[in-house]
Amino acid sequence: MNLEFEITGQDFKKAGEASFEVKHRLKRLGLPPDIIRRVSTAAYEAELNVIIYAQRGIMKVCVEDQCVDVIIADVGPGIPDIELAMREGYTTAPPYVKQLGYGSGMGLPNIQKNADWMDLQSEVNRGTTLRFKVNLNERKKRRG
Amino acid sequence: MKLPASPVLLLVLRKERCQGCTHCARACPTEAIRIRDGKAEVMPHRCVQCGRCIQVCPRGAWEMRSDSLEKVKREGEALAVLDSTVFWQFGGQTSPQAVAEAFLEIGFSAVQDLGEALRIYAAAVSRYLSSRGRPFPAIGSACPAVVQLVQVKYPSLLENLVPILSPLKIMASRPKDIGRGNLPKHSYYIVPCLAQAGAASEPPAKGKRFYGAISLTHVFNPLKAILSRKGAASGVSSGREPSASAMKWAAAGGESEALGTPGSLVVDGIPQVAHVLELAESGLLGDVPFIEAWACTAGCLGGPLTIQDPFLARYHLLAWVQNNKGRVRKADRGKVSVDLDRFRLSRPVKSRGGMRLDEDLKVAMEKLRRIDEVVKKLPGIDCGSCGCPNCLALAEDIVQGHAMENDCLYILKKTVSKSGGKSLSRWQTPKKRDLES
Repeated sequence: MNLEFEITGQDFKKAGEASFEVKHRLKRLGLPPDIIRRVSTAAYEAELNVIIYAQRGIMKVCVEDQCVDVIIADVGPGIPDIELAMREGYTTAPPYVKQLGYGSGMGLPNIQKNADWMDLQSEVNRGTTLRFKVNLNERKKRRG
Repeated sequence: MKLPASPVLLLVLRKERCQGCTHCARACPTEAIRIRDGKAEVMPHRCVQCGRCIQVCPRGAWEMRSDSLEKVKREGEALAVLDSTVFWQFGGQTSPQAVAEAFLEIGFSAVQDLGEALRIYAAAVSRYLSSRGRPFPAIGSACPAVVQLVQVKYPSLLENLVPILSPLKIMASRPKDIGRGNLPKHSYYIVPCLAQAGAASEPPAKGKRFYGAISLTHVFNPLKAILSRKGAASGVSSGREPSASAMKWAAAGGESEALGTPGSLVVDGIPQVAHVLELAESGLLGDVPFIEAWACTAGCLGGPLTIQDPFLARYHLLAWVQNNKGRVRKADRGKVSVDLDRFRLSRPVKSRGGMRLDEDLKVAMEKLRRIDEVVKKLPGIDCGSCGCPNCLALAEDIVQGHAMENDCLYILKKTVSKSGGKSLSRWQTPKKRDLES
């Protein structure tokens, strides 16, 4: 099963729409609650990153036999230092975004916590592609 | 995987009143209702017993299957357990004591409120909330419709439900502690809603008390007649004073007040509850420690089987608390110490998986794909003429084999004009459909 959503940068009103939709679809499939929670949490964080930082992006969700595979690709500023970006609490979000309650620097670490596998590729001034997988059969990974 | 059985469902349709108008189908939070052959039908595995259908039906076609006063009289000896909501249906001039007394005149031999059980429940819940390692946020389980909504639609939140026996179950588990003297043989819970009725009517555990359920609408008229006859003066000082905090449970916010929990999120009304649960499921509630959730607007006072306007009822309730401050506080005094383990649910609440398309993941995926295809053909105006709450639900029914594309008037029109208006019967939908499968 494949799903595709467009995400628009700065559109905070719609924050969460794509990942909520993903969640609804996964529920219809009857996947275990824990898997759904992890996929939708990670997808939400990734969706928000696009809204906060990028101009636009797409989210593709593919449910396979063994895992849920999610790709979020955006056109945006990119991430100069991925290692730094992965640190909890590190953020480059502008103040007005923080005022909205977003951009606390927990997004990427949270994705890593919830995913069984994660890959982050970025090119400065071009964009970022994040891909993560949540395994269907593995016993539940410890949530941090 | 076998799903747990649906809870006792006391929802019935009076077919002669149903005109197939889709009000209920559209209001249902789990899309559990369809109009088939001009009449509403409910899918029990999806119903969360919130009673929205009862509330929105313009013809009063949905009802609760209530035990009757005739049965109570026949049995000769019966206890009425009064939900706090019951006391506020008769206007501001009628005291709770007068209401309780009136029950003795309509055929019951004894009356109890839930005060003591609610005190124990509150103490158990607040112990639980301060226990280490409990999930955040905890979701209050006092409203059985909310619990069922979680079971059907938000299974990832099951572990967040507070795992404490309901006040009624607490009462049933220790009648001796709570009741004074000998209890009558039969007990009936006077309920403001379908969900409480269903919960009350579950077969009891061994050695526990069984409760029947009587709808508030069913006893309202005879009670009102007695109360009007007696006037305001009756029942002023008889019996034990009811507890103010127990009374406040009838209104949203009352639970949090009774728990004394600093900072809880209070939400009422099933669409609003669903939205908050949606946020909770996605981890978006931040540091909220506890959600007090009620399926009905304003809390139980807004129950589908209540008569009084819930906001007026709350006004009367709060005025009564205010005017009787000193006396009603007495009932709340004294510490309740509880052994948490004694009132914990013995088994965790299970998912009912009501929203999933198929037990087999691959089949479910294929169905989801086909639903996407079918929905593109539909007009997307959610007119409800097909008997489904919206176009997406029709697409789902088509894929599940419960409906056909020509159930959609727009598609039917096209089909008919293509065929030159001939032989409509070829496209008529099959008569017998199994909604349960």
